[in-house]
Amino acid sequence: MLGLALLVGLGLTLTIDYQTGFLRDHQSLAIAHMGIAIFGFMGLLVLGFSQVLIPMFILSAPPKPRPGWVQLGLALLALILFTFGQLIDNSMLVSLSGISAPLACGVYVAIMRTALISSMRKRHGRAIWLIKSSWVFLILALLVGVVMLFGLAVPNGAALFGFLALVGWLLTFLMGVLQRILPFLASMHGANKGGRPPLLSDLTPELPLNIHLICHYAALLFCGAGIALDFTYLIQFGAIAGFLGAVAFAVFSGLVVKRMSAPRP
Amino acid sequence: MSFQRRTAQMLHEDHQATIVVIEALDQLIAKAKRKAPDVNDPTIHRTLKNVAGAIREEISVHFAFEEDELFTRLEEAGDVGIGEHLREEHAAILPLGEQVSTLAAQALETGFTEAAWTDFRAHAAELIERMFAHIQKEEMALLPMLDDLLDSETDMELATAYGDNH
Repeated sequence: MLGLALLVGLGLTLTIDYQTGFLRDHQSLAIAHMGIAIFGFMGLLVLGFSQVLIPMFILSAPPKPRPGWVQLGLALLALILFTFGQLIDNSMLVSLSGISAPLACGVYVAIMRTALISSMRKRHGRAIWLIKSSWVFLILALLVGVVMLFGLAVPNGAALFGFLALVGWLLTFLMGVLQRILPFLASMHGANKGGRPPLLSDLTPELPLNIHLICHYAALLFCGAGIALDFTYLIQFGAIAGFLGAVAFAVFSGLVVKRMSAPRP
Repeated sequence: MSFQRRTAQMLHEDHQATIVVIEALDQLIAKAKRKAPDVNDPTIHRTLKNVAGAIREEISVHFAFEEDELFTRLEEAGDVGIGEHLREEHAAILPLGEQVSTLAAQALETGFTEAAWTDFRAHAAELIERMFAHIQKEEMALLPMLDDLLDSETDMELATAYGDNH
């Protein structure tokens, strides 16, 4: 919530600056704003919810508290170093964030890996595949970011970093979580209507989710490649695939609601 | 996971034991697919034996305890919804569990015909799905609530009573 408040505050400041031009360095504030938005607000939400949702989905032991606190500490350190480094134009602080952030990511992935290993379920399904692949994109995004922080050139680096972080990591994670949680919540809200409670599989239309999965990965591949290679047609093709995936997911969501409301045997 | 209340911890351990049986059943069905498996295979035999013996007894004792001792206390505390929902799931799972236990016991005696396997697979698949979802809800919603719902004395009484019946 603090991250949300900060990003809103910075966003308003940047908006006012467009009109008045009072900021000495608009770009640095914009970069800090982006960092807080992706990692301070959304990123910390993902890190926190992962501790609860992933063990629940795969029926594994909840993570031990200490690694979670270490992960949080490293993530907050990275955010503070990056944000202050940007605001006061201190490259040393920004570079140090490039060490703390991958460490936080490493601890997070280790916690999730431990949960997967201790899972009592062997078959996890499509949603967990999406969530696992989101971690790969988090690592790739941080790799691009760190390479850029240390002054090495990455083709269309800023756009590639933003795409990998926002779409590759956050959106993929969200899609994995939503397709598991929506039928689960529907089964809870569809209760007490008489008859047998609905099965999760009855509430989960498979075809739209399969279409979404193919389109989502196609979008990631083609848009990511298009950004890296500066090839517009690839990006456009990826955007179409992403749009079709979004439509398929919307259809899935609508069908879950419809099936939830259907009379039960 | 460890809970502060002994009652919650015992129910959690029950869940873990049930998951082991259900997961083995899930693996059995996934491996055999449409072809009736050989009940003399040691792994399959052990799985069916666990299903025939453990499921019916475990879930009936476990469910009865939850409904008689925990859901009633939740309702007295003003939280009616979760108890109602879980009771509904119990009502769906219990006869299914009994049916799967009976079919497993029959299969251990006489093996699976193709028709019997199809019937067993259908019922077991539904049981597996309902049990996993039910256990998820109890682990995430019910058991953590017991830490606040039960005082130490009540927790000790319930845990002792549950242990004696188990």
